[in-house]
Amino acid sequence: MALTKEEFDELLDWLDPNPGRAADRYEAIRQSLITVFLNRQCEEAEDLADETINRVARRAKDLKTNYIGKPELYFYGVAKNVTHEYHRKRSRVIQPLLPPPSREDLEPYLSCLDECLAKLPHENSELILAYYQNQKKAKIASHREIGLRLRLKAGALRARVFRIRARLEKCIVECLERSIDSNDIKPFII
Amino acid sequence: MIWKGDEEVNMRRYLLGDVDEQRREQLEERVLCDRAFAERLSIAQDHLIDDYIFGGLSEAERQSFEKNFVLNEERRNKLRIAQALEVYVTKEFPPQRAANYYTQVASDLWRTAVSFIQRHRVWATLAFAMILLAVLLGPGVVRWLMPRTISPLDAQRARIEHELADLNRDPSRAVNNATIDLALQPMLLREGGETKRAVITSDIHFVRLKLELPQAKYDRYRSVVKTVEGVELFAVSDLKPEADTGVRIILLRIPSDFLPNGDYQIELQGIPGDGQAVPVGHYNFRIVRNDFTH
Repeated sequence: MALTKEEFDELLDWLDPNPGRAADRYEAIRQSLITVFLNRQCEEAEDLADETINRVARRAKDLKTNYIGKPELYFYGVAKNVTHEYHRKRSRVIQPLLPPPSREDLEPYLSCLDECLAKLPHENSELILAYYQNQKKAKIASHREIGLRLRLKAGALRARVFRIRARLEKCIVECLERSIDSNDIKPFII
Repeated sequence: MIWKGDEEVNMRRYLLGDVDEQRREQLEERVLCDRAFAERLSIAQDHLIDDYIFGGLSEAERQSFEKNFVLNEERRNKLRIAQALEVYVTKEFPPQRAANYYTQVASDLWRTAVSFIQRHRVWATLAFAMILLAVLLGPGVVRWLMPRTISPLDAQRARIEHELADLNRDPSRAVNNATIDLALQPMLLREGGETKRAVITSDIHFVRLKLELPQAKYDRYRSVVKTVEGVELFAVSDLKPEADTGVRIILLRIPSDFLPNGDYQIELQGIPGDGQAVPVGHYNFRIVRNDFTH
């Protein structure tokens, strides 16, 4: 059952009186719940995160007066119950492995990757490509070399590459969605 | 509870489903309450996906990944993007282009440094003059300022050698204390055979090494105890030859505490009238401790 606006507002207010900070905190909690559910072998992680949020939101008014502690930990307690219920209802379906991709499977990704790399500042696109240029052990050595040349420690280099990659991934996903939309066959009207 | 150990290793184990429930709950509470930690977990997840695609996982990790790493749409996309990156860098970013990138980065850093110096010429000249002065005069100043101090290692060796000198000068100090004897012959160049060993139990306080003299040519001897790699540990001087069942020996007494488990070598030197030490022989031995202390 979907939340009412009042319930949702109560929830945000419980998280933080400031609406901007509350929304931010809400989103962080939702993402973390998805992570938790995925790593507890729950395939419908987004749905379960929303279910958890709904249950907490319905009690938000009461929690505001009676609960002492971090709201995140309350969400976590509810999430654990949701997990148990999920696994009780269904035995885990072993997902089929993603088969190795064919060139055709990868073509849209490669095309979007090309487009999105061109949108990055040149130094960022070169950095991320240099980072992935080698494989396995050779990759570790090249990472050390990149880090030395940029005067970055390993952790800082990885964090920087991660941020560039996150932007790249967002761009690629948007590019893929645009490709799907543009390939929709429009109805032929007589 | 403190999250001990290498964080990324633990994160990887969590992502692969290889942690117990207590640790899982610790980590998950932290994911929810600590955004920086949650971001680091996302980075660890990306690394895991990269390692899976680029063949960086062990066989066991690969199996855990394929069994436990549940794919939602976001993760599926990450996997495909990693696969696309692998293909793309092979095709579009060959090693020569990587080398050019590194050269470009180095060149950019150099240009930045030169530009900075040009903008701050006076300070740069002053700084250069100071550095030159420090390099030319520094060592002399340091030597003049630093008092003569003995390093802790040298101090420790001095203490050990003082105790050994007392013990070997006055063997009565070892009376009524359990002692183990080990008779050693000098090593010859072509000699093989098993290294003699002394087994030290908790009741043994002293090791008495009987070093057989090839010929009793000198009135005084010095023994230098080393590791088999040749690192000097301590030396005992002013040792006099003794008779032992018709054989001339040097008796060397060492507190058992000075000899941890391992192989040792003694270099025995004769001290002639002019005081210039002359090598006489090398003696190898092994200490095996059954006292659970070393």
